Amino acid sequence: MPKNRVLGYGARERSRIILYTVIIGIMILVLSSLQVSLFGRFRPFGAVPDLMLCLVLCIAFFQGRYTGAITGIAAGFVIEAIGSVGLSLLPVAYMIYGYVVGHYAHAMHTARYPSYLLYLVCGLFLRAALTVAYACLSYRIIHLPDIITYSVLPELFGTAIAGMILYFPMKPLCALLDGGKRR
Amino acid sequence: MSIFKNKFFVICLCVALVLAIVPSVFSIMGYQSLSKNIVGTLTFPVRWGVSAIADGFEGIGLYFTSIDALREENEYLRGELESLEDQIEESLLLEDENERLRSYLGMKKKYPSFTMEEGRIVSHSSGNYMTTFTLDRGSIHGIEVNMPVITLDGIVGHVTEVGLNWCMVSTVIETDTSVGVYIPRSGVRGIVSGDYSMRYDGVCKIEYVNADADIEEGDKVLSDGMSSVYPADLEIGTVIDVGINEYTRTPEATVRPSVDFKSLDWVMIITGYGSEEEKG
Repeated sequence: MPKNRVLGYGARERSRIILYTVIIGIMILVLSSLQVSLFGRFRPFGAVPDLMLCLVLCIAFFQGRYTGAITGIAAGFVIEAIGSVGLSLLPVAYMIYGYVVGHYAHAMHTARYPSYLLYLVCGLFLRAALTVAYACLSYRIIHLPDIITYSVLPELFGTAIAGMILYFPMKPLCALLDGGKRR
Repeated sequence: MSIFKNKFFVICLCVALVLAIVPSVFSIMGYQSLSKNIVGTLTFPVRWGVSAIADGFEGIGLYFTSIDALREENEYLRGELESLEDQIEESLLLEDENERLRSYLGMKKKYPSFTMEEGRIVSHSSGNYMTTFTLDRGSIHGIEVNMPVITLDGIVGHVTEVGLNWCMVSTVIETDTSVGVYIPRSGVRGIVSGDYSMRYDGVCKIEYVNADADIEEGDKVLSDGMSSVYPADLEIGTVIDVGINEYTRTPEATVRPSVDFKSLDWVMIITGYGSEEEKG
């Protein structure tokens, strides 16, 4: 192995990885803070949109499954640390979601908005399932129609809008970071 | 599924499980997770900044959402304020009327045989001092020339002209006015009359007294009832200065009327006084 390689990565690769890590870390910090502080107060449609899910989707869609998976773990961990109480499986859920989206987005070689929206819909189903699961675990008596009406649907609307909007700034940013290559 | 048969995926799954379960277990057990603590501390400045920005947006939002409600409330409060101001004004008028009527009652108690008509000053004479004025009572109210005009404080003057619904009053300090008076302390009798130069100071003089008349500063001056105009024992004023008339070499005193002509608004016109003692 050449001397300047660490874990198989050259200096340039390492620089890029560090840059990725820092930028994605900053995005996770900012979006998680926005989610709990800004949207925690102003609740569009009555619920907090899941910005972390949208971020994982974007990263996975543009950067591939590995970056998507790691971003999912980090995003899930951070949002769980600052926003949740009790048992939370967000790191696992986001990791799987990021990995799967990254895999299929790379396999289909499409980086277009309609396919992005398809993955967003899948993410919304994941989000709905998580919300229902948390609600069922939290309350003794389960009113599924109420949970769907007052928690799931507002959250999905907000998350869908956030996801649709986040695509546009993330696309040039990811292109800038990587020159369009997926990892 | 083949996509999950990947070393990287398995490692990530394990890491995710650890990161999900361990802090949650700590949290459920009541212990503070170190990782949560670190993440919470690192994100605190950003959350604080975002919260401050959210406060700003909330303020702006409240401005726009509440402005209509505030306008409505403003209009309502303005209406309430106007209504209350009207009520205050009305109550002030009622207070004035009450005070006036009390004064009237006081006068009725003081002079039970007098019949009086209340009059309001509607205009004053031009000039530096208020020596004549017009009342809102006239012949249709039974007012006649030479009727005395008084307040609870004392004599104001007498009616000099009468119209249908107005009358003009000449005060005691007017130059063509004279009243027969006496000083209760010493029994000195004289004439109180106005003086052209003295009226601007709001005073009048007693003259035509005996050479040995005992007049002092502070003496009360009352009407003697000898004239055909004023009843007896109505207060005219107080002696403020005593001197000698340069021509007649007799005492001459300056009298300040007990009535404050500057603040006069309502007066009583004596339309009749019954007892022989009160008639001049």
